[in-house]
Amino acid sequence: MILGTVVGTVWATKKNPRLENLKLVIVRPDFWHEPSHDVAHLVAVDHLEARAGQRVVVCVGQPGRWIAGDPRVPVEASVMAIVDRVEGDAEVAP
Amino acid sequence: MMLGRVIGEVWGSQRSRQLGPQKMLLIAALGPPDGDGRRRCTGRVVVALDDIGARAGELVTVAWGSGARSVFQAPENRDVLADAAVARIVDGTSAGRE
Repeated sequence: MILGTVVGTVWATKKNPRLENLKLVIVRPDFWHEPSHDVAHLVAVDHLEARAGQRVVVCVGQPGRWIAGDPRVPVEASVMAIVDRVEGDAEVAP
Repeated sequence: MMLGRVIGEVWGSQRSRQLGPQKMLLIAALGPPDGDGRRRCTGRVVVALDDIGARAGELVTVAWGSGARSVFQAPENRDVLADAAVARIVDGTSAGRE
């Protein structure tokens, strides 16, 4: 998973039917672990009602797709936890 | 799998039921040994589930992607959604000093 900060929400009227009733948030990752994913923002499914400014843990890839219980959902990132506290190296844990 | 060093822990009381009860550790990925045999952090950091009790500063291997859940005991792991999990705590490697 990766650590990131919620910076916004995505609304869409016309969308893939499998995305119905899924809330999508925009997450700015603090770190990446895969160079191929190294983009500034990530859109993730959110079941936890995360708000802008909150730090979250996001699961990416195939495990992230199963969050809705249906592997055919066209997503590959899900918010797994809202972070209360990070403890560790000050340089990497602001 | 990736070689990394535990650099911290993440707490979150609001978490998905599918995340499992394990601890969430911050792990910095380590690169190949340099000239003096030390591995340095690559700047990439991952949050991985841990149920074997790795502590800050310890060297660990992390299982990635859909294989991460295989680290945990079956059959409970069938419902765990995670793309990274601590697979073992490393005592040493033959390719460089830690």
